[in-house]
Amino acid sequence: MRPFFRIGIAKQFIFLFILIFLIPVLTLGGFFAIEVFRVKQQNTTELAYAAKLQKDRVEEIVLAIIPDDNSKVVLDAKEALTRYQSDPTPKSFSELNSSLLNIQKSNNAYRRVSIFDENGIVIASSSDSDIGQSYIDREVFSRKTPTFGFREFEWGRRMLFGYYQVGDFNIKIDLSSLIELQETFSALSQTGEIELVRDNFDGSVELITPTRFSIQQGHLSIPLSVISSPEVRSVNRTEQTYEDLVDYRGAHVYAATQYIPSLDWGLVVKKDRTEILVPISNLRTVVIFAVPLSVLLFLLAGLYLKKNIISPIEKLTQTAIKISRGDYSKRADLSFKNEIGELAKAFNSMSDELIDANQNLEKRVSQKTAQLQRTLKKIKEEEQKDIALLSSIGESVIATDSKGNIIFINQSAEQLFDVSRKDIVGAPVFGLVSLRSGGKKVERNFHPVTQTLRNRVVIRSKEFEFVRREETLIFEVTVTPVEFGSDIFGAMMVVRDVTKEKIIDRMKSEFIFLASHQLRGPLASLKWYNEMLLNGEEGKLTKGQSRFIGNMSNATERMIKLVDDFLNMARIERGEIKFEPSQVQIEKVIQGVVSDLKEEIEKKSIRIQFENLSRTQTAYTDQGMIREVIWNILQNSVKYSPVQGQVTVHLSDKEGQMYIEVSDQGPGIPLESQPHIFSKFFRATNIPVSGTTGTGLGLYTAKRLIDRMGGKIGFASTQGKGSTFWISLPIKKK
Amino acid sequence: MATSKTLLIIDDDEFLLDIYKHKLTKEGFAVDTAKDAEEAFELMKKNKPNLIILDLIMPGMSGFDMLEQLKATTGLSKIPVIVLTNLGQEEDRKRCLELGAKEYYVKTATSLQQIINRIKEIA
Repeated sequence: MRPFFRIGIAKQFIFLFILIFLIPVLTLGGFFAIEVFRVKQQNTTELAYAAKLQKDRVEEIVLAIIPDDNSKVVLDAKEALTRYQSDPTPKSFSELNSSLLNIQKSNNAYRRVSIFDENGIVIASSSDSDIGQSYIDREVFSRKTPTFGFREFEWGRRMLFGYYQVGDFNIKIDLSSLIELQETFSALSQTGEIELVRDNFDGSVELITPTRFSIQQGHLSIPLSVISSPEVRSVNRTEQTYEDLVDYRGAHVYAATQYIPSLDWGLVVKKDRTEILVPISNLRTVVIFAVPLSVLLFLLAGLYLKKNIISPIEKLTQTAIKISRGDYSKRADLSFKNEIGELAKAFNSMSDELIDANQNLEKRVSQKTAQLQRTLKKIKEEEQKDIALLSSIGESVIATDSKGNIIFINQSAEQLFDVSRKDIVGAPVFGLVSLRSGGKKVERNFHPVTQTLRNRVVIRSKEFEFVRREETLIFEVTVTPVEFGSDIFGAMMVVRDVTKEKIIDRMKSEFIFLASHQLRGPLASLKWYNEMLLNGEEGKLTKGQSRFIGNMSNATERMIKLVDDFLNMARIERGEIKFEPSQVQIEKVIQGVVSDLKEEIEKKSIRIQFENLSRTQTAYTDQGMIREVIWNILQNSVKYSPVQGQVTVHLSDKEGQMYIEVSDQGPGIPLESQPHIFSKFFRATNIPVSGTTGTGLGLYTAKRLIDRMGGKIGFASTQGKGSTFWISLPIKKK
Repeated sequence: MATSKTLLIIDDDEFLLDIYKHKLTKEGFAVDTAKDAEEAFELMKKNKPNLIILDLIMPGMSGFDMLEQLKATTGLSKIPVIVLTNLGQEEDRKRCLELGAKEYYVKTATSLQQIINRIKEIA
């Protein structure tokens, strides 16, 4: 039980809690944000729409009440004024006043129409009582522009005749329709307001109509620098909606502005943010209260869980860890009244049982340990004996595992390969024993150890070369698989350094080869001198001379044969004879040999009996080699056969092998000679008795050749009755 | 049967040269003998033989090399060569025949009569 698991459960709970807590909070937050966006969007749209609507209506109303310069009444008034000034009579004065009255009557909104001079003194008016008065605001008068009051405004126009100013034309207009306009809108909302704004071109703007909330009388003016003011924004000749501006009261408002080009007025429709956000603020209250409340609830639930589930589990876990470490005295807390309490109980009883089991186990373990130690000691002793045994062997021994890695190497091998056991154990044997054959490196795949491990075969006394410090050694390698039942554990390799023996052998062969060549020359002279003498070329020979020279000739022939045999043997031993197999017609070979031996056969009147000899029978072998073998065997049989004896040549096949048997009726081979019959220069003990000649190389040569051909040679013999030699050869290529 | 054909015999064995000379002269051939290749080539400058009998193992140039040189020399390449040697291996025989020898005999395995008969056939 790893400690982090204990922490894990608490962590998992915390994670779960946060997850459960976050989901509603995030949902609520998301919903809130969407709602805020929606409400804002809705209000700005509404405000913008209202502003557009109001702009049109203001234009309509204002244009309706501002007099047209070219209307008949205005032109009449001008004419009356001209007439009065050119002829100031009471009549023309009265006409002037009545034409002003006509203007006033032409529009319901006109309260009073008057003309005053450059000093602001009324010179004519629709209302007689005004004449001579000077109540026009000086400022308005000097600006010479229409001045707006609340609920009414005064419209003025300079009256010019040519370039001469004759007076100011002034109309006082009732503005209740505009005020009504604002009031109708105000009724729709608690804070909604329409403002008409004019740029004073003196760094401030001026509200044309009375404000809804301001108690201040007169025009409200706001400096242009108050850019957060919707009133200021409204005169910038664009249509805009704003979400967070501060109006003349200092209240946060949502506003839409419009520009009325015909009047060069700005129009503001605005609504307090507080009013707009009423539905949202309710929601916000919910959020503000709900979040801490839920945090509190989660906290309480968490505390409860910790006390009743997490803590007990942690305690139980700690106890379990202690027990697992061997402290069996620990007991789980039983105070919990739920399933965990039950678990703790079960846990405690399990601990009790563990103590029992453990004590038993300890006893048994100590018994087994003692037993094991005894066995180990025995094995170790055996092993040391084995190692001592292997180490003391004169030949080099290397043992490998099933992969060819060295597991043991004896002293002799250490010396041979010039390595130390502790350095080489574990290394692949192919690296240490890097063999060569015919001068070429033996690849790992063809290494005798690989072959033994793969095919589970014994490789016996195979010769390889090995280069040690630039010196080529010759090794005779034997590899045996180490098997146990059907498993292969490794291989045991025994290496014998046969370099010296081989060198001596080779020198011997070379000597024989050279000597034989030197012998052939003189032998040829002898042979041919004899031949010439026997032919009577130097005169007829006497009987005695003829016999002597005949014997010399025979002796020469024997020596020639001996030299031939030596040469043959030397060549075989030097490996100079190449094995070149093909399908060979055995019958033809046998007939050839018989014909070679014709002279001897006829001389002794020997009968050759052929049995089962088929013309088509072939064996897969080397023609020259098999001829040599059959020649040696058949020649032996003829040589040792008595006069008029029978030699039988029998052919058969069995299991893919051809058997050639040659039987004679000769003296047979004594038992004591039989084991040595194929040895070099060996001649049977009874041979001098039968008075035949031989080199003792024939059967040795035959055996060597048969080995090269992959065949077998053997014999059966009974002294006094005769011998049967047999050879076997593969019929088909493998 | 009498013929004036010239044979050139190259061998370093005195006894054998004696036998060849004796026997072949008797058979009616004009016989020249040489102990080594150098001598043989010297002789052939004066007297071109009708047939050459050649040993393989000699001091100086070997019989193989001499055979090769003979076959490569204009005027000598057409002279038939019988190899008469102590080397009995199949490879040696093959090599000589490939180099252009007409016949190959191992001395100890051949009777004198056999050789004479063959010379008569070829020369």
